[in-house]
Amino acid sequence: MTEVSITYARLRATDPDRWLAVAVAWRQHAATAGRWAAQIAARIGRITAAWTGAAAEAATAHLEKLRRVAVQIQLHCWSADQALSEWAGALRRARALLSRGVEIATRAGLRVDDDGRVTPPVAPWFGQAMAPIQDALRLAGAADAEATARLAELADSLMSDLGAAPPPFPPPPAAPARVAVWWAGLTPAQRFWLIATEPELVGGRDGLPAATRDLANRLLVDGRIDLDDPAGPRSYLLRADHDHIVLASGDPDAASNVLTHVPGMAADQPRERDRAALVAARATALDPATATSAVLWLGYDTPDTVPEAAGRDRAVAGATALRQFQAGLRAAHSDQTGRFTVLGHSYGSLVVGSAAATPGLEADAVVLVGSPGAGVDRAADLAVPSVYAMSSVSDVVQYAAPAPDALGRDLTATGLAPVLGPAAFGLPEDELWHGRNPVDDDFGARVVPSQPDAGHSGYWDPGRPALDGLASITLGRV
Amino acid sequence: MSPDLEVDTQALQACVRPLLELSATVRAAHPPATLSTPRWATSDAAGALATATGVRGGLLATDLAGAADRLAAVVRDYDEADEQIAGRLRAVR
Repeated sequence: MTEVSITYARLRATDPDRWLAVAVAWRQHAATAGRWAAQIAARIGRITAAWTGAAAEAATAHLEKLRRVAVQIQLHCWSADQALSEWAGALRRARALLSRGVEIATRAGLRVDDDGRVTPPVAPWFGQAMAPIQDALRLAGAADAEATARLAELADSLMSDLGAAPPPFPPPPAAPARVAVWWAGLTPAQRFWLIATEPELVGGRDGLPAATRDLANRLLVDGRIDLDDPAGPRSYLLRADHDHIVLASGDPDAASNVLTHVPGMAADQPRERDRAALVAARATALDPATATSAVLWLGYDTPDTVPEAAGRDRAVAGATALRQFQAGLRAAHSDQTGRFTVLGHSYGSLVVGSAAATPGLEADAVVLVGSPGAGVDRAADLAVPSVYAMSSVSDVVQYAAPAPDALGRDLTATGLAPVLGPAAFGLPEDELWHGRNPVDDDFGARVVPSQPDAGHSGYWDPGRPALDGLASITLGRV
Repeated sequence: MSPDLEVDTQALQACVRPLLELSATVRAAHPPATLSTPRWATSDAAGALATATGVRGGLLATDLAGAADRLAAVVRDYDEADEQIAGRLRAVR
């Protein structure tokens, strides 16, 4: 048997969900090790309260060292969970490609033999069936090598000494690219030392790998945030402080396509997270050959009320943080071919527009969805290669009113919009609260259609045109 | 000399058993098993990491037991020293 036929046979026999279960088991073992660390910390507290002096200090220092060993085990278990979750995700995509190839062959009256060969080799169906099968085998082989290398490095570093303190962080405001270079120069032991001892410095630092930030932030939140859907792509916690949260579905550093989802007013974290993940899932279904990660970016103070949304201060402040974050994503990405899309919904589109208004936003495309204006009057004023806009005809925001009270009334009526459509509000306005309507012809964005009954919040409804549009933009297919 | 020495040996003694129990818990924990069917290179690497994790946990368990034993010895030493000194002082006429 050739290596290709071996891989084909393996892939056919592999259930990705079983590997996902192994990843989850490592996550659970990480939680177990975290409990060990907490129990050692509790003993240190008791001993410190009962005993002082030089001998007491020596005893607690030793126990603190043991606590760090428990934390190191915890971090390595989470890292194994990351590696195996990505492996399971790659297997899922590879099997989807395999199914696609077999389906094409079957429809054409061809068959796929046990070695993964399509017979008979009749054009054009032969090529169309073989291509996804070969893509599947390449994908599985590469993912196997990647997971193997990561797990082997973990086994080595787990058995090595905790290591000495690494050189200090580049002081703020070091560019994310500089932070990424500095991090790349550390040994695995030094990296784990930093994550374990200074997680607050690592967790929010743009330019560090997503997998690293996730470890640090998981230590910091200590289970207080429900992060993981056991059946879905693994979550990467990229920031969790001061009421801000940044959470990726799938590893953005390893994904070919990365969507950053910026919500607007009264953003609800679980809902927005689902929206981002829906785009990534649809993109993956459309193109299993490439990995897509979606990042929920709640790294700014979202407005909670209509009067707050009437001002631009929050958007301007958020834009600075968003630019820094995107620069970090680009710097930490595993290669230079990743496609980065930044989507702003509602007030989030003003944040995105503000971030793109001057050169330097690391994005190949921005998408303005249900936008009350992006702070500019023309797409050409946004310094990114592609600008897309989407607004349902029933989205109340584009009938926006000049005053907060009036918009508030319209928002209250949003529930009627899918039924009444434009009749409820009249004609769309050219000039919205925060600039020209991005779906207006004069704005100059590429307008991507959505379903007419989407209202202001139906753009992520599964099986509908808007979600397909957003996924296609993320893939660069529009 | 440690002018700031203070010790509550009963409270220290109360820490010994939890440390021993934690040691036993750590030693009994099993890292996740790998999947060997079908066998990928990842299968072996995951198995090797599980082995390493078990070994590291075993070393931690041993160290925790050692720390508990030393703490128990400290309590004994402090109590014995206190008793000896008290005896000497009682013997003074």
